Parts: sequence; structure tokens; C-alpha cells
Amino acid sequence: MLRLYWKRFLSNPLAVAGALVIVALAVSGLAAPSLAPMDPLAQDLFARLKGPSAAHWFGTDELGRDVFSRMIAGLRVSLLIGFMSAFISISIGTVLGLIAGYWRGWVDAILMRVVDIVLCFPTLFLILMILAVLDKPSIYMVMAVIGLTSWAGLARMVRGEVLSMRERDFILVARGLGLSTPRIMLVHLLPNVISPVIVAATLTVGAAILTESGLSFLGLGVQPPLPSWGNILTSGKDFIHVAWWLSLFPGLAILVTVLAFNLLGEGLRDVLDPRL
Amino acid sequence: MTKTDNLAPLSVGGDLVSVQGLTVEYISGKSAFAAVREANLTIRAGETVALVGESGCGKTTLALSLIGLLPSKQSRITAGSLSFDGQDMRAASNDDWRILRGRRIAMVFQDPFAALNPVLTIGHQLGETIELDSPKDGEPPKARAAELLKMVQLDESERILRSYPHQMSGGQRQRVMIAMALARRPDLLIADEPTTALDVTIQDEIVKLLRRLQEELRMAMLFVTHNVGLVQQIAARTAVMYAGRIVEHGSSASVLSDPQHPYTQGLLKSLPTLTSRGTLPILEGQPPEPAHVPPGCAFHPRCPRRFEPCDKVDPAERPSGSSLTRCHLYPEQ
Repeated sequence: MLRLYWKRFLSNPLAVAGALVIVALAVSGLAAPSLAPMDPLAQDLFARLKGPSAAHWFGTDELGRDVFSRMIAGLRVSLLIGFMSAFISISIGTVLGLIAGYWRGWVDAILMRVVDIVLCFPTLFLILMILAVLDKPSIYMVMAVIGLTSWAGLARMVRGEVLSMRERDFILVARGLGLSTPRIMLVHLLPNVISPVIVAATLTVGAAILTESGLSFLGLGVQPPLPSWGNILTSGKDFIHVAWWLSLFPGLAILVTVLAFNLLGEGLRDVLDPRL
Repeated sequence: MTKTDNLAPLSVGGDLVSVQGLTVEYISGKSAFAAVREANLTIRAGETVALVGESGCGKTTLALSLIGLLPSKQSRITAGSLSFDGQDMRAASNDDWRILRGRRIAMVFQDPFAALNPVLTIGHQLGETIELDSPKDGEPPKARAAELLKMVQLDESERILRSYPHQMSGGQRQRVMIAMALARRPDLLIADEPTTALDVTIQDEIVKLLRRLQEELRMAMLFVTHNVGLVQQIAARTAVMYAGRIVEHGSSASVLSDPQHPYTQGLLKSLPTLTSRGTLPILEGQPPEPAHVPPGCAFHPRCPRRFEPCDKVDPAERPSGSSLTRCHLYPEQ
């Protein structure tokens, strides 16, 4: 089974490319402090807004900080927020979907109405509202808020999968053998609905990174001086006519990263769900 | 209820399952129809009872009600009583049932291809059942699993325990299902058409296996089947179901050799025998849909011997010959 999945995955060059980019990014993120050539917060007012050169690969910003070092530090922040908020969102979505689908009845009715309500709120607006109220949010707040606002679609999807799976004979057999309900849900149902969850997880990481960049760009995400791709982009917008490198590199980095996650996600979907 | 009462010997011949006047309805939207109507059935400890009937006659519903696995939101028991080993199970909660399931009542299902979890190995699924009972310091689950596989005549237990269901044949899977069902030494095994999905040669092996295990483990068994031909091989008593009712109920010998109800008679006449020649007689017509059962005796539109009261009055269960039957041909004495 696994070997078959692996073979199918390798036959999709775009997905493999996405996976390689993500691995490279994750490794750089983990090694960030030792990888950055300079201190991302060290200012050098004599070298402000210098273009890319051998000393500063991606140039310097308006305070003379090395953009490459800042982006590596920002990569760490962005990936951390992406993974953690995806983790929060996937956990909530999966657990609520399992519960709603397995118990059905009024539990299901209530949970699905909550999902409806969350889904019909414009997510970005909701996040903006919460963060605006919080005032100078920490990156943990940003993670939590992104995670807590993006689980609803997955909950509904998992519920649908569980509804069709719970009628299968092997669930009846498991009940007939006297297994407990939590055990049936976690050991017997969950692995059977995990494929869409894996795909959604990958796509959610990409989406969360994008959301974080957007929030930081608007000044509501990661707060300076802590660098993130979004807030490097913000500082770049004021100098876009004189220092293009300040906007181009973080923009490209966001593009490549989110693209990599989406390619991987779609590749995984093809691997795990041969019906498509 | 503690573990010890499982070790106490069952009173030999005592009633293990007692079903009186059980009516089970399925609900869809606002309408409901009875899939099982006023069923009386007893299963004594250590005996095998066969439940025979056509598809859709309610035999699986009756079987599921004995293990508390009726779909809770689409069905309900509307009348009658149901008890297991003296405990009233009609009023039982989910937890009451869960204590009995697997440990005292187990079930083998019709389709071995759907009954095993496709993403877990056999070792995992069998081990998980074994671990429900065995304390951590007891017999290692792996040894017990191998022992169970040997009991159902599966060799190469090492390889099988590592396999996924899709790597095994239907017969092997059904043997694994039986091993799982028997892992906790239940007092009652419900076998719901355990051979229907299998090849004829494998069918015979599975029936023999079940019969042997039933004797060795001295458990009671409810063998649900649509194949009258299997009944004699396996069951001491037989109940024949038609359109949700048990129409005839007695020892297998008397039901098969001296059938009372016209339905049983027709069913047996349509069986090929070694001496039969030419076309077999058939039962004219189709069994009614469960939602549209005719009034009176449900069998009357197809019955060759119907007479006056048949389309008006549903006959009660009465003794006739050495069986109990529901038919106006045998009035109260």
C-alpha cells in the first residue's frame, strides 16, 4: 500500500518539487540563526537601502539591516505560524468532524450550525477584528487566531467522510466485539478518513502563511522589529521606486512557499484519492 | 457485572436468549414499518438454532436486535421482551450492551470483504479484541492470536497477523472474523449468513468449522441463513421466518421432515434432492415488501391452501405436530 503511494507520488514531478522546496525551507528555518550571515536586527545607518551585492545578497533596508538575514529569520516565523495554525485548525476540524459524524443527532445539528456560522463570516475580517482588539499581538496570538478561524470547512468534510464510513460493516463489527466508542472513533474511523485531512493540512499551511503575510503587511500580524515576510514587504512598499529588492524578494519567497505547499497538497490528493 | 460470572458454568439447557412477542420497526421520516413482528424465540445454552428465510424477511434485523446493534436512530423495538441470561435487554443502555458484546455475545457477519477494517492489519484487529480481556501481565496477545488462528484452521499465523485484509481470500477473512468473534469465548455466537458471500466449497468448510467450534466451546449459536439445505448439518432447532414473522419453529428434524406451515412446505419442495427429476416446484409470487405486508396472514396471497380467514386474521402461534406454527390450518385444540 505505502509502496504504491510512494510510486504514485514520485511520478508527479510538481508534487516532488513542492516537497523538496518545503524540506529545504524547513531545514533553513530550523538552522536560521546559524544560516543568516548577519544579525537580522543589527542596523548599519551608513549602508541604508543598498542594492543586492556580494556583502548583502538581497540588499539592505531603510535602517541598513541585511534583507537576506531578515528573510531567513522571517522564514522561521512564517513557517512556525503556518504549521502551528494549521495544526490548531486541523485538530479542531478533525475532532469536531469525527464527533458530529459519529454521534449524529442533536450533537451533529449543533456542531454543523456552528460550522455554518463560522463559514459565513468573512474570515479575514474576523481575524482583523480580533487582532485589532488585541493590540500588539504576539506571534502566538496570531497563530491561535488563524487556527481558530479556519477549521470549519475541514470539520464539515471530515463529518461527511465519517457519515459514509460509519455505516460500513467493519464499524458494526468493532461495536459487536465490544470496543469502546473512543477506540472505534480514533483507531477504526480516523485512519479511514485521514487522506482528505492530510491533503487539507498541507493546503492549510500554505493558506496560513499567506494569511500571516497579509496580516503582517497590514501591521496586525508579526510586530516589528521581529521580522516576517509580510512586514518586510510593508517596509518595502514605501521605497518601491528606489529599492525594488525590498519588495521583490519577500514577495517571491511568499509566492514560492505557498505554491510549494499547494503543489504538494494537490499531489498528495492525487496519490491518496485515486478517484480524482 | 464482573468478569467472574463468565467463568461460572451456564446452567445446561437453561434459556440463554429469550425473545417474546418482539416487534422491531424501522422508521423513515414519519412512516414506520415492522421488520420483525411478534417474534418468539428461545436459544438454550450450548444449542444451535437456525433462522431460515428469504432476503428481507427480517432475519438479520432479529439477529441484530439480539446483540443490540440495531441502528439506533432508524429503528425501535415497539413491543415484546428480550432477555439474555435472565437480564432484561430491552431496557438495556448502550453501556449494558457493550459489556455483553464480544464477551458474551459475538457476531459473524455476511460479507467478510466489508467486515474487516481495510487500513489495519489482522494482527492489530485480532490483538485489540484479545486485549479487551487480558490483563497486561497475562498471556501475551500474540500467542493467543496465533492460538485463535490455529483454532480456525489458519496456518502461517505469523504472516497472516502481518497481513492487511485485502491480501487475503474471502474464506481466510471469514475465518479471521470467526477467530475475532470467538476471541473472548462468548456464550452465544450469532452467525448472520456467514457463508453467503463465499464459494460453495469454502461454504462447506466454514459451516463444518462453525459446527465443530460450537461443540468444542459449548456455546450457543444462532445460525441465520437463507439456505434450507444447510440447516440439517448444523442446527438442532429451526425457526422459519416469512415477512417479519416466525411462521414455524421446532426441532430441525420435525421442521424438515414434517413441515406444518404451507410456506415451509413450499420451501422444502423447491429444494433439489438426489431423486428429483424435471422441473422443481416453485413458490409462486414474491415475498411482500416489508412496508406493504398484506393484511391477515402475510403469506396468504401466495398460499396454495388459503381459505376463509386467511386474508383477514393474522394467525397466532399454536402447536401443531411437534412444532409451533402460525397458520389457520391448525386451529386451537
